[in-house]
Amino acid sequence: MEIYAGIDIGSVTTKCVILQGKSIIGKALVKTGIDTEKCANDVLDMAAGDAGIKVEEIQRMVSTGYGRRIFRRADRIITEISAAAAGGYILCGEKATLIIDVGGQDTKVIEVNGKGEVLDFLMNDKCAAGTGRFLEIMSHVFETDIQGFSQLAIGSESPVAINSTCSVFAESEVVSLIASSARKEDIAAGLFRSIASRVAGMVRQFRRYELTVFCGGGAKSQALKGFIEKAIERPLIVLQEPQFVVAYGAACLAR
Amino acid sequence: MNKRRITFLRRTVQILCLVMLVYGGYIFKVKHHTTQQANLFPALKAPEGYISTTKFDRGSILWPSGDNPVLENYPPGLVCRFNPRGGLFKACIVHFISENLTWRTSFKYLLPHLTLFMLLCFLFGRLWCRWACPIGTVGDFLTMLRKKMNIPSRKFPAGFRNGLRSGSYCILGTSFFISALIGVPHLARFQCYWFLPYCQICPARLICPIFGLIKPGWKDFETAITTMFTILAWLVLGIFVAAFYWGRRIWCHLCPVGLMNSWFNRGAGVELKKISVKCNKCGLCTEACPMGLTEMFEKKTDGVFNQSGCIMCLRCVEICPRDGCLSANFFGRKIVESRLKK
Amino acid sequence: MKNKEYLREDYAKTLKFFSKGKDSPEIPGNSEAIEKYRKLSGLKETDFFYDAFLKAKSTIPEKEKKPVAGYFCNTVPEELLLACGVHPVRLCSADSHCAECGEEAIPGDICPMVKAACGDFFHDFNRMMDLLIIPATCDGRVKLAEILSPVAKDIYFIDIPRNTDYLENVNIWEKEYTKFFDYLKSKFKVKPARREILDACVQTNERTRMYRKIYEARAKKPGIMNAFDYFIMANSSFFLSPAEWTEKASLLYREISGREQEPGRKKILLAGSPVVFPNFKILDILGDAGCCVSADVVCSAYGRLYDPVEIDEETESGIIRALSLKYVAPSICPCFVGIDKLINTVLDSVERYGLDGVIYYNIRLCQVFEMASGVLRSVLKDRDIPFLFLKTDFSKEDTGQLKTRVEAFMEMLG
Ligand code: SF4
Ligand code: SF4
Ligand code: SF4
Ligand code: SF4
Repeated sequence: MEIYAGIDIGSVTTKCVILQGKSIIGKALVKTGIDTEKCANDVLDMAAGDAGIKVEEIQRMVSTGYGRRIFRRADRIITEISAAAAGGYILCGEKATLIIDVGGQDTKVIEVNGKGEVLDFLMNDKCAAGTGRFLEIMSHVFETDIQGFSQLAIGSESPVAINSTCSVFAESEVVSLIASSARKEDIAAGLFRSIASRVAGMVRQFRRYELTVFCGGGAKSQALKGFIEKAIERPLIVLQEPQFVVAYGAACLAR
Repeated sequence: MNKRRITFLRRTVQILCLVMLVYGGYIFKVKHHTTQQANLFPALKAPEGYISTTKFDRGSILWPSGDNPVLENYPPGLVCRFNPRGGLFKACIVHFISENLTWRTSFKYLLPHLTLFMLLCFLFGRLWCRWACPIGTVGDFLTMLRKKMNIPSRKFPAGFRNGLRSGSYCILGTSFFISALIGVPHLARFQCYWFLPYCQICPARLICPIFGLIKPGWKDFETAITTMFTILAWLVLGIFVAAFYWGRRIWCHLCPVGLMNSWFNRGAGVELKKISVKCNKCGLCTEACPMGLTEMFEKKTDGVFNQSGCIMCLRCVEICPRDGCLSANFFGRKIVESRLKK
Repeated sequence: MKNKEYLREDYAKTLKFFSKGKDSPEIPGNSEAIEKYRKLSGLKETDFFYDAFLKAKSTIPEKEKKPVAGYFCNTVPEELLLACGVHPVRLCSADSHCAECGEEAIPGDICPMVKAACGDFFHDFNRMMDLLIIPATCDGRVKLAEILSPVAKDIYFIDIPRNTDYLENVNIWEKEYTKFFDYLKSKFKVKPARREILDACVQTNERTRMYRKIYEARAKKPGIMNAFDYFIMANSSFFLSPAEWTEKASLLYREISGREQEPGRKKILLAGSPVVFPNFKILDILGDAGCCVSADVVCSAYGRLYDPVEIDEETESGIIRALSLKYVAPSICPCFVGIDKLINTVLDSVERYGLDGVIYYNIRLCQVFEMASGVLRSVLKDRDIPFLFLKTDFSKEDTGQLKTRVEAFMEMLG
């Protein structure tokens, strides 16, 4: 059986998935450091270790993500959009899907038809608003991590309205909300809701899909999932280990 | 300026038609003493006892001369029999119908003439108006004069144009009604005054003879009725000149012959088509339309836009700067389409 | 009274202060950019246009020995200016350096095109422009004109109504243009005959014809002329006289029509905000991603040169109406009401030239263009035409992001 690797060099984490045929035999995740290329090599080694193979045994490698050009050993370079589309599409049983990817630096919504072709996609603006990074910054304000932050939001009954999604301004808005003794839970929920409504605004641009898949680092947050579902009035499918979907898609495209 | 092939072609055809229609008799050197000799279809003659006593025999307001034209047939367009020796055709269709309403000619005789008229209209719709009608040609000359004088044309709103069209219906209806009325034997004595009521006021009657260097019967104050017709004729002539001078083809919304042609416009063989997606809404087509129509500009779907007011001058097709946006078709075959002028 | 009434001259001092030190005829970075794109060109005849950009601004007045009138946007009838013996120059600028210069006079979240126009004004045009003409297109430009008016020698405002429906407004356009023409006549003390306006129309029509030939050749054979050359050529019509432009463009046309197309290129239609030299950022990105800008619907090329003056009646009124039907009625500028024109043009071009997709380029802070994009997106989606929206400004920091999008778009096209 041939072995393929997909490496997704994101702005926050770098991921690698190794495929044998159609099944995943190894995967790894590291934080993206300053030396992106070294990171990519490391993660490849780790994934190969996980799979119990040597890196040389990998027939083809595809790199994707924000740092895709930096990894020079790749046989093919594709954008994370195509990779996420392929990953989400294959993992969901090859149906017309809408893939929502909330990553570290950007949020993407990708529409894939029943044949696996990308029909259209949207990406958020160049700032961090509505991305994983925004959540991270906010969780720092609450002195917790993203998971804890998410847990906090789930406990809320009446989320406050937060108007700004610019991370800098939202931070000051949050601080003043805390000062005005609003409940922590409600503020957290308000933040999630403001992101969810941004994502929903992007999702509503699409009309022709059956399934909605939620992936990327942001998909690990139960709260965000809930708020997006509420905003788009559709159930979201969250895959196991959603942050590997792009790397998986890249590996699939190496076939 | 830019080369305008269609305009050039149209002008040529118009002048040729003018020459043919008013001087055809000279050109073909046909001697025609009896109507039968020069007739495609069965001759139409006034039955005995009718209008033999009319004053037209005396060569008055209607008849400048007694000569007959080459063909006793009736094409669409204001071609007028009232030019001596020359005319290729006998008269226009309004004349034909009015005359026979009075004479009560049997339908059998009328049929071939009507068929000819309808066939011509079915093929080309109102194309005759802009390409053949001699009176229209004269009017276009007035328009040209205005352009030379650097006087802007007047544009008329849609309501006004529709009003003219209603007026045209009134004129046509009234003249047919009068013609039929005086056909009643008891009223035959009125024939000498009311015969061919539209012809009596038609500007073609006054203009066409001039080409034959004949003075038209332009005044008759003998009775109250003739005086009325004389004054009406002057008035209409005035309107005609003013309309063509300032309003381009605005006259043709009023002309009853044009009205009759227009009934065939929508199903005519000549079809004007638009592909709306190519249109940039520049409005040039409406700006250039001598009839001031807007349908081709406003149309938002693809397909035929023949309008009843359209005289098929193809000016809109010619001026539209978008390649392939407007086109003229003849039974589905594309003849010309709009493009950027060379 | 302590507070005296405000007079235009009061502000002139401030403006003069702002422009100090910026009034060198050379705009830094410009010649490097020109050389960069010239190297990419591979065509001989484009040299003229690049050179024109190098020296145009300083040589126009000397060479032409004519008064110069500067204007913004696409709704100022050049033919009337030409007929009056005035050399028209379209001032739209997109230089990031100029945008910085303009920052002082108009700070804040303003469209960079407007800032650049302001900065450009500080640079050079101030000296040689006899008249500044502002049509009522986008608010930014109108206000800019007002801000600059204290230092401009003369300023004229053409107040075109927002509705570009022919039936509604043609009489108003005629009136506006006639007023403008009368103003020109009295300002420059000329009495152009009808013949002279017609001659000017002939010149611009020649230019349109030549432009269309090139436009179509490019659309049909991708790759015969790259997008940089094309926009340089189109942009140079901003300040070259139509006759000169046509002459050189015809040489260029001869050269490109002998070239073979590059097979297998994806053909893209570029729509949206004006692409003006030297802000070719978007073209750089598209070029790097290997996509070929075959057609465009932007006001700095297509919108400016595609439609001719068609004169129905050669009376003065007829000519002026015809001009308004060239400049205003078909305008694709989203400042006006009439988005259907933009959309239909895009749809038609895609079908006619068999294009693979549409990229809509939006300069950040230009709201009207961004608002129009939503409609276009939905229309194209319904017709299964791939569409990509890109929003950016003159800065370089989002290049990576934009590249990802464009590359993903190209992958999507297959
Ligand atoms: S409508 Fe005009 S062109 Fe037609 S027949 Fe009447 S006068 Fe002649
Ligand atoms: S619609 Fe066109 S063809 Fe018809 S009259 Fe008007 S310009 Fe002529
Ligand atoms: S002239 Fe052609 S492009 Fe202009 S409005 Fe008429 S049909 Fe449309
Ligand atoms: S799009 Fe409109 S406002 Fe903008 S530069 Fe072009 S013509 Fe002017």
